[in-house]
Amino acid sequence: MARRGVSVVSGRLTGVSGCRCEIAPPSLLLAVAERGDPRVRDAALRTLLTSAALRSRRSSLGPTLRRLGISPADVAFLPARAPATGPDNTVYDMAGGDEGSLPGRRVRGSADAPVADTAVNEAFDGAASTAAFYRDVFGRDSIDGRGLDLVSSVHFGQRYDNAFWTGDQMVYGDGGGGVFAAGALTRALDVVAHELTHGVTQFAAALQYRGQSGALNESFSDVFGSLVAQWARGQDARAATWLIGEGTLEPTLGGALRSMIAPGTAFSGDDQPADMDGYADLPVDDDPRNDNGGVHVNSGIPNRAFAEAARALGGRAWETVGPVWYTVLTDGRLRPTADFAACAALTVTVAGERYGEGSPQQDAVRGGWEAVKVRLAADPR
Amino acid sequence: MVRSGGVAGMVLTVDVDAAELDPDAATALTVLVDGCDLVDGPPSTVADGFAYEVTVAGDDGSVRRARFGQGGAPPGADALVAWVIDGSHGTRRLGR
Repeated sequence: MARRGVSVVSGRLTGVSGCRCEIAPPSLLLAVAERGDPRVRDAALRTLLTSAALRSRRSSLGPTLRRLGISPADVAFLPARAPATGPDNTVYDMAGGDEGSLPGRRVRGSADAPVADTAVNEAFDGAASTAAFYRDVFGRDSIDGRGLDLVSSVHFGQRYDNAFWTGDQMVYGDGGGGVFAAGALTRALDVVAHELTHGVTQFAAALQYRGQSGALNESFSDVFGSLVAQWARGQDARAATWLIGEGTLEPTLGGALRSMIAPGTAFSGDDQPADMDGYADLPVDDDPRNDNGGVHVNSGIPNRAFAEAARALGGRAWETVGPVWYTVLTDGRLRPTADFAACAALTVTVAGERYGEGSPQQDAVRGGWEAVKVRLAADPR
Repeated sequence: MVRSGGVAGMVLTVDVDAAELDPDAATALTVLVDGCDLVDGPPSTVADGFAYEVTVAGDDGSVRRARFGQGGAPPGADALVAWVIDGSHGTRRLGR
């Protein structure tokens, strides 16, 4: 597979040995990487990236990787150099610019005090809280598990009603475009954590963003987005609202983006099904109405399975069902094309491994999937 | 114009009828449509990126349509999208 002139095989740079060009300036290597023949391009790119990684942190590679159409996951062979102090956390100001001007002007770094811009501070704090959650709860070293620096860009576009993970950094619009309240996208910790969890998924299960695997991708982001917010509040699963993005929408639209416990009730027009009886069998095509096969629609089904299991057990969801979902997302058994049934079966298996066969935790996980009518293998008891 | 996806996952449809616009707005829309290369573009490559569909129906019965993802807009489409989505013209509807 070739992407923007860079030879890549199965999403990884092809290995080329015998060419070490440390004395070549980066600009020359970049020019070669963009225009040379495939073997020379690979060698130049590998040298460029390796030398950059050795002299600096991997976050500095983001713009170069993006320019060449490569994901950080494609260069996982590079050495990670996260210091004991944890990944750097840096926020940039896009001042209304678009993709072409990412990441923007640096306005706050790890050691800097808060600035006058609320969005900057919220993006900084949201990234820090999310990374702290993954570190303290699951022992994960940043988004990629290898100390990837946290990079956020705020004030993207004009009244841009969205936040997204590019593959190597966070991007936030200001809202105010008719869907989100102005300033809401950085204010909501669960939204911040939702997007950063797309990064975790990218580096872990790499769930394909289409159909049921895409709905699982969306659901894992909601699950851990909600858990980060509950963890930050020290909130019990039975006290949690299980709403995603509560208070972020323009008030006339509704109260939240999604309800994990009651899918389809979050806002006026919310069409998430609460169980498989209402599954939206949308085609995977280029029609925007079909949402890549319903990734934001059917995610309500696994969302509810998690929320039901967590509520049944009570207590801190990040300590009960959360570890089961985290193991499933990250331990390599969940395939990129997994469907709901495969994910459900794996959560039951992992719950048994972690808490014991027939344990209350495993029963709660099984009960969650049964509530949403995802078929499971018969309980052997 | 249809926009879907994003972290909200909502489908927003905006219909603008040039005949119902004031003259200045109608002229601005005509200029933007004329300057837009209505061909399909690549889909968004990021989770929660937007997806767009732009349809232009002419007085002569012609219909032109383009679909593309965030970051993959054909020439001129970004400006047209911004005018329609961010502006206050036409009717808006949320839902598939």
